[in-house]
Amino acid sequence: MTNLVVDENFRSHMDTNSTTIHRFKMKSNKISGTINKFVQYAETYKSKYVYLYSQNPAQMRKSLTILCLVTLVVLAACSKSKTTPEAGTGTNFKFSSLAAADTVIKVNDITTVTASATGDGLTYKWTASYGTFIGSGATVQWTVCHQDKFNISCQVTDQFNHSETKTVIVRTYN
Amino acid sequence: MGASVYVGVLGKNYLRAITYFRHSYSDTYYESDHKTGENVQLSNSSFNFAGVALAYGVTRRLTIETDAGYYFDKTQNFKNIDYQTRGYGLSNGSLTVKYGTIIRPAQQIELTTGLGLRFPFSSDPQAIDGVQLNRDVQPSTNAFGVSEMLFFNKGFPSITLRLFSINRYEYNFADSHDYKYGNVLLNSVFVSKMIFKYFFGIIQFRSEWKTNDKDFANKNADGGDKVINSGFYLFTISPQLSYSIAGKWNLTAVYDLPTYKFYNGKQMTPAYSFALSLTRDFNLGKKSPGMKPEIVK
Repeated sequence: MTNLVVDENFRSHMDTNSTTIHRFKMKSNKISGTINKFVQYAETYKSKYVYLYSQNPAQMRKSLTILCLVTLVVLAACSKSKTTPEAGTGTNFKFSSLAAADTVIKVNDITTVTASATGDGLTYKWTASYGTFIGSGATVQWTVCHQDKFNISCQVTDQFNHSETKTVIVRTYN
Repeated sequence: MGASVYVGVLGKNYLRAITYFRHSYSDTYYESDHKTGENVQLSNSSFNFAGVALAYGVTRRLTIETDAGYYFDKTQNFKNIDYQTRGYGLSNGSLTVKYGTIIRPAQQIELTTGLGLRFPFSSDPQAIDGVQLNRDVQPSTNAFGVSEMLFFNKGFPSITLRLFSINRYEYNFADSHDYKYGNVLLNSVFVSKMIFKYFFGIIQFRSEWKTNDKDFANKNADGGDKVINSGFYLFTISPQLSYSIAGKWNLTAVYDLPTYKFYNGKQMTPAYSFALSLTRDFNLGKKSPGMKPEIVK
């Protein structure tokens, strides 16, 4: 009984495969036909081009040059647009907080500043009104050489160009 | 520079090309006019800079000059932590128009006035790995600026001595982050004398006054704009040696010796600086023996 079931299943699979193969052959023939038509068109245009070129080579060279330049510009624009991720996609971006371990420090001391964010492909850009950052990424250290009040900002961006900036104030004393 | 005849403006159709390299080293903090070592952040700092300048004599009185430079490095080494911060890149470029108000080569008198525009090659302060570098190691002000200059030159051929005076004022605009570097007033006097054939000894006395930087976007604790540790007055004596090669090239070595310093707040100050420059003049007009002295009314 089992063998019969297996046989039946096998034949059923074989039939399915035959149909699939047949359909594949049909599609291949169709594609071949299309390719042949394209080749015929190309041959036609080639002979027309050769004729036109022989009549006015300077004009044809000029036209070709313009066509190449336009093609290059279009390709450059397309490639540039392809590398820019589309905004609007990616919904899990969130810049939760920017916090300094110590917001009041002595001059020349170091405080650790952390940006807490979630999202895909996050990048961090740190700026400050003055002072020196040590390190990079989500957590950096910061120090300054004189007494004052300083703004430390972090801009977090994900791979879909979602971006947010937060600022923390750190005061220093002598 | 002290060995050239036409220094303010060039003769018509003359092109002057100058290339130079400067190295500077700092390791001393000053608070107002005295040294301090208390509670300082850095052990030393330095920079290496190269620049190119081109000047062209449009007419007998009008010269256009442009220059640009590159910081190979602007480095600060920290004292209490094992850390170094380093900036590099193009500094500001400049375009200057100079006019020979008075040019009397026969009497060896020259008075030149000039106006210049300084422009940045980048509008944003340099950042590495997403982290903005300290303002003190930025290669550029990232902002436009204007400058005006007054140049005076008087020769005393009987004693082969020449006297120069350069006065320049530079005004910096704020950058895209509303940070404005201080303005600079520079006054210098050169005395140049031929030591022996082709060699000129020059001594420069230079006074440099820079105002405080201002941060308009981030008020300080007192509610003001001024950045405390910025701005200074510096007096420098600078001996130079210039060698004229085949009458066409000029090779000059310069050493800067800061003599008097007054610094606002507490700042790292230059200990010494030296520079090398190479100058070449080209006559792009009709062939002639050189820039002939002529009376210009």
